[in-house]
Amino acid sequence: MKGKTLITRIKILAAGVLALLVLAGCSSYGSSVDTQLTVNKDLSGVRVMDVAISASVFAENFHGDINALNAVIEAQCPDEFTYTYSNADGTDRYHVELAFESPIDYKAKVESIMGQEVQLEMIAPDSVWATGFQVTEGFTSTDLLGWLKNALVSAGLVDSGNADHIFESGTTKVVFDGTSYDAGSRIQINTLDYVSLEKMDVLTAVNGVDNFDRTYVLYIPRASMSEKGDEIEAFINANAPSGTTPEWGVYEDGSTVTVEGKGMNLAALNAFNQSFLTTEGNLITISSAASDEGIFGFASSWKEDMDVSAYGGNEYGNVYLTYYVKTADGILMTEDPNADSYFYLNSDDSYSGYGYARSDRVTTLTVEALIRKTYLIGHTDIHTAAKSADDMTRVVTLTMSETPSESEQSQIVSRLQKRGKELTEITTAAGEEGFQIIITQTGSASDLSEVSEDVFGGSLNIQKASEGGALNVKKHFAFIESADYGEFLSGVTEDHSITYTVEFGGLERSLDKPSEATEDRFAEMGMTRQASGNSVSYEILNSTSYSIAESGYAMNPVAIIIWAVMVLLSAAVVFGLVKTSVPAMVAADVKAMRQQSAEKKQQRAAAAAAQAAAAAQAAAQAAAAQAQMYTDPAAAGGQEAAPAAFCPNCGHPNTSGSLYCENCGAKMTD
Amino acid sequence: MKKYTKNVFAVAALVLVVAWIALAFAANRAPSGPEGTVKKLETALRKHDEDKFLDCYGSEFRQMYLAAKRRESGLTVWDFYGSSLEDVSDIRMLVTEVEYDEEDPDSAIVRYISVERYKDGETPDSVRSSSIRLVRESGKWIINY
Repeated sequence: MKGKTLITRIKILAAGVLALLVLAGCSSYGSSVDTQLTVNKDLSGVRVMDVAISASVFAENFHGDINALNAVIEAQCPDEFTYTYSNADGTDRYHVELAFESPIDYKAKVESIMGQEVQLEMIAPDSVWATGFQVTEGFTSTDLLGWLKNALVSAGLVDSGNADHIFESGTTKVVFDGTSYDAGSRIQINTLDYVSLEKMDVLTAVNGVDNFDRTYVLYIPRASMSEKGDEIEAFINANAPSGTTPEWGVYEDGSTVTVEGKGMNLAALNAFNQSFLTTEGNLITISSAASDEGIFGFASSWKEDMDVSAYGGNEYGNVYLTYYVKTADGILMTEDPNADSYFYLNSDDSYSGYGYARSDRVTTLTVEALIRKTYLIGHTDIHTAAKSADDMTRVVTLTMSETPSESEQSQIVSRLQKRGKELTEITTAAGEEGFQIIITQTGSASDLSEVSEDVFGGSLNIQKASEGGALNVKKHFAFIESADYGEFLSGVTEDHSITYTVEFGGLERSLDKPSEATEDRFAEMGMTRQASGNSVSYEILNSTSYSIAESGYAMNPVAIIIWAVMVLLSAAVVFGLVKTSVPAMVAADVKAMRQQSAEKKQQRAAAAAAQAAAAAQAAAQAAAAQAQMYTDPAAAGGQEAAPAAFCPNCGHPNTSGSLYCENCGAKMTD
Repeated sequence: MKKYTKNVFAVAALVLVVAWIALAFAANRAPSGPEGTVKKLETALRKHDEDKFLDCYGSEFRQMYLAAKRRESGLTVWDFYGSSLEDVSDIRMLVTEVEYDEEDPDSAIVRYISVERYKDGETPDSVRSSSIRLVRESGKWIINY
């Protein structure tokens, strides 16, 4: 019995020693680290780690004194921490704090301290969809104090063999919004309570540079509506931006609700989002981007930060969100090369005209893109005044489909001025049809071809030639202009047209009426031609290039004058000749006539004298015969002589039967 | 005295008018050089004048044409021109530029706008820019065929 007692005593002693040894091995021969993570409702907070090193632990595991330890801590403590040291009851205590403003800030600081990426999720939804708190950490407080362990070993204050045991996790608590929860050394707390939201569609319509539509469409499962339908409806109504009314509908698995805002500027859009999403951190910023968008284009960087946690209807507090985008004509939304995230619009027929850029389960979302706006040209008027090959003026008037802002107008003009430095004048006008940019270029045909290419790019071939010859009354001319404004007019409206007019010199007229074949060709090209006076106009549809060829003639006033002068001179010569020659001829004729008359007169006088002499002789003979007759009747019986007639004027004896006196011409009496 | 002054003025006016008309005729003369040859070609084409046409091309072309004509009866110079002129009612070659070769002063390119009008009214009127190279041989500019 006595031996058994001894053996029993030995066994008890051995067991005691063993237990002591075991206890000694398992006891905190290191220092304990008690942790309290305090998180506020806004998810800011502080992690407090209280490290207690008892005198015995210090004596057993540390070389050197407490001052040496403090010196190492002071030198090596990361900036993210703040700490205080105290000693009471022979125990050295370090109160270490890591404060953070948000889970993101918290995670960044932890990763900076540990030098590696860590798991840290923290959400605290407070909505009809989910309530409660969830925090999950992939590290412990001793992990966070790893820097100190390494520093102590390096300073020779702790043997490397003991390094892994000098800090041991103590108690861990999590306090959220005043409520305390016990946790393990790796904190994992989940008090979430939720009803599910199937998905949220976010639709953005970019109508203009500062004009947006935003639509939220929520798909709420039937089960959620059954459980919290009234609360959900109240929640949506409470968040609906002012001026909007949520529209409820159904889909095959439950109800939909749509909240829509239209025609908002950026400030209104931000207010709209803030109201509906409720959480802070919802912000859209638009800043000008350095991007070459051409003469009429402008680029802006779009960045939208969204926090949809208020609609997080699941254990993770996230939402299945699809981000849709639609842009108006002339606006593109593309990836921003300077952004961190990609952007690509996928085609989708869920909403007419919209494509989707993102589709994912998210709590927060950042969308970055480049909004590229090109002002479209609604009409182009080109007027070429082609007096000659050396004197031409081309006026190109671009009427925009919408009016750019004053700043954009200045930029457009500035861009054009940079291109067209020579022979080019650029002005703007507020036309009836819209804002107009007027580009005037003056010079020779070859000058215009060059400077036009500077401003418009593409190509311009303009030529004019006229016949020479100062005496040609009708001078032929020909004109050719072909232009291609493909690049310059890349942004035009669907009904864009070009009105092209060429105006020739004042006396020039287009000669050629196009043949039917030419008219048909014009029709195929969407062109119509109208000639009037010295100008020809074309209406060109659906094209940014054209080729015009005109020929005609011009009346030459100089030649007309020259010919007129020549005719006049000829007439004058003829007239002069006539004037100087006729009177002389007439005078000569008169003289000749007079001479002839005088000669005739003389001849008549001579004849008269001869007749008189003959008459006298005859009279004498007659008298003698009469006397003989009177004395010799035989003589009288053979032939009876005619009796003489004496002129009543001069008494000249005329031949019997004479009507006029042969001497003086006086009329003889009957 | 008055009579004398009147006569002086009359003579001066006559001289001026004659000088002006002479000047006009001088200005109306056909251009010389490469441009003159092109104008001669235009006239030849318009009037269907074979001799004038051949004259624009020089002796070598003429010999070539005559040789070809011996081989092929019915050949005309217009076959060398490249298009039938039968349907053309009018043709104009309006010179826009004469560009002399900087390295060879006996070579030049004449750029012109060609205007052809057709009798049928169906064929599209042809107004197009063209160019032609000429060379100077023995002081005479001929078309480089």
